[in-house]
Amino acid sequence: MKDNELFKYFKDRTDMFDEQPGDQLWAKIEGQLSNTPHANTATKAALKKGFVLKSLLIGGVLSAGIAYTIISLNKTEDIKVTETNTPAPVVKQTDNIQNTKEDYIVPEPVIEPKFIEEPKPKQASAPKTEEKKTDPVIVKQEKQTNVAQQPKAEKTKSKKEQPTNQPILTTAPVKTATEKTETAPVEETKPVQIQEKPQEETIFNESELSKRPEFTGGIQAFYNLINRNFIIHEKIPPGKYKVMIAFVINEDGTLSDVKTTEDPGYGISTEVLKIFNSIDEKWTPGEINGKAVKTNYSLPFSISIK
Amino acid sequence: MTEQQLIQGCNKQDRLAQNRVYYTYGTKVMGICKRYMKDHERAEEMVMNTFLTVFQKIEQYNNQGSFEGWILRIAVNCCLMELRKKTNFKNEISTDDIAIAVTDNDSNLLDNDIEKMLNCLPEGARIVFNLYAIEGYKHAEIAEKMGISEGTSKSQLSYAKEKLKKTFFSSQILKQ
Repeated sequence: MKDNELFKYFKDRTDMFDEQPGDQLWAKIEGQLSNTPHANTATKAALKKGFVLKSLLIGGVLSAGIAYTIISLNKTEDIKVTETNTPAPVVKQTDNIQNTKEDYIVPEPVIEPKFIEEPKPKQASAPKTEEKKTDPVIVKQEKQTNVAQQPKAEKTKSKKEQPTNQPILTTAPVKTATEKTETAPVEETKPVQIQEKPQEETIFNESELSKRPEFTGGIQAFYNLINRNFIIHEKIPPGKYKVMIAFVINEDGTLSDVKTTEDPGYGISTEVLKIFNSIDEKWTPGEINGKAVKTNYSLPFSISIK
Repeated sequence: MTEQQLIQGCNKQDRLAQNRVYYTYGTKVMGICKRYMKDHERAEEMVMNTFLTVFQKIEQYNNQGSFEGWILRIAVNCCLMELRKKTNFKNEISTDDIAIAVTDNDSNLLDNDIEKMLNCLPEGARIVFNLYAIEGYKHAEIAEKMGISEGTSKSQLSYAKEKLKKTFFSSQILKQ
């Protein structure tokens, strides 16, 4: 049998499908027509959409992504704000990395209002490497005093110290940091990066930049990098999953403060975070008037499991 | 009322003219919607969308081509818009499928019931077959309308052809 015969066979019989639609349906249509006299524009828009190419769909997805990025950036900001308002007690919750990160934010801002001028310049002047060097020393001191003590005791201690030791300002924040390194010793580099976080006013959002941050080789290269390293450990039911990763791109192009803002579960975000932390390749930092600055950045990842 | 009067009436949003248009062309619109949509309820929904679009966009009808053709094209587009949201073209083709024939292979099914015949196709293949064989669209147009690649359109069509031929026409010689 030839194709055109087959087609003709069906074409000749399409009237089999014909069927007079009922009065009820007309009543519905009439109802819609009189209910929404201005539905005109809405349906027009909808129709147009229908005719436009897939490319538009993709565009939509992209813009949604961008919108989402913006929203999530705002979210992270909101979180920061609320955190700064809450007093210290949150601190000792877990040894989970993300939580400890947040913990850092908590004590600092509390201190800041008390000693407005001094902590900032000190932190700003102390580059990462120096902090790295100084950390271990303090850790030792701390260990000598605190090893046997319960974490809670440490806490209250440092709290007490804060008011009394007012002149020696920097010790308070550093100590809280070193306490953390004891609880989460795995992340040697983490605390250093996190220490920068208190200077929140220097982290910019993309919209404020004169030059946006870029990954060497383009964002696609970055995605490829993640893609290549992505290993699924758990059994994940087929489908599409979206992970939203927010991070800060530092002046030197390194990434810090990587966290998931949208987690589909199944260990996907843990895996993505792991890859993020293992990436050595640097970004070109965002710039304002030619000066490299820290930038808030977030990227959506969609993972489809077949 | 002549077609011209109907169109004029619709342009004035005259309910009576609209009602006439609905009953005059509704049968064929319903036929198209039933051909594309899987169940009757969805088909009716699409009929409604079609006529709402027709009445709301009546000023865009340029009086050049046939009024019926214009309405039927809108019907097809309404169905496609709906289907495009939901149809997954990818998972539907496997060569194993082709081998599995519909249970009843004898002539009863061939009682010219193309509705049943088309319903044995997976959704993607059915849509492409409808568009290509019956509506007469080209692969490029189908690809554009459905947001798929031309290759997908072609493979879906050939799948549909093979399956229909194997299932219904293998032992029959059509007298056309």
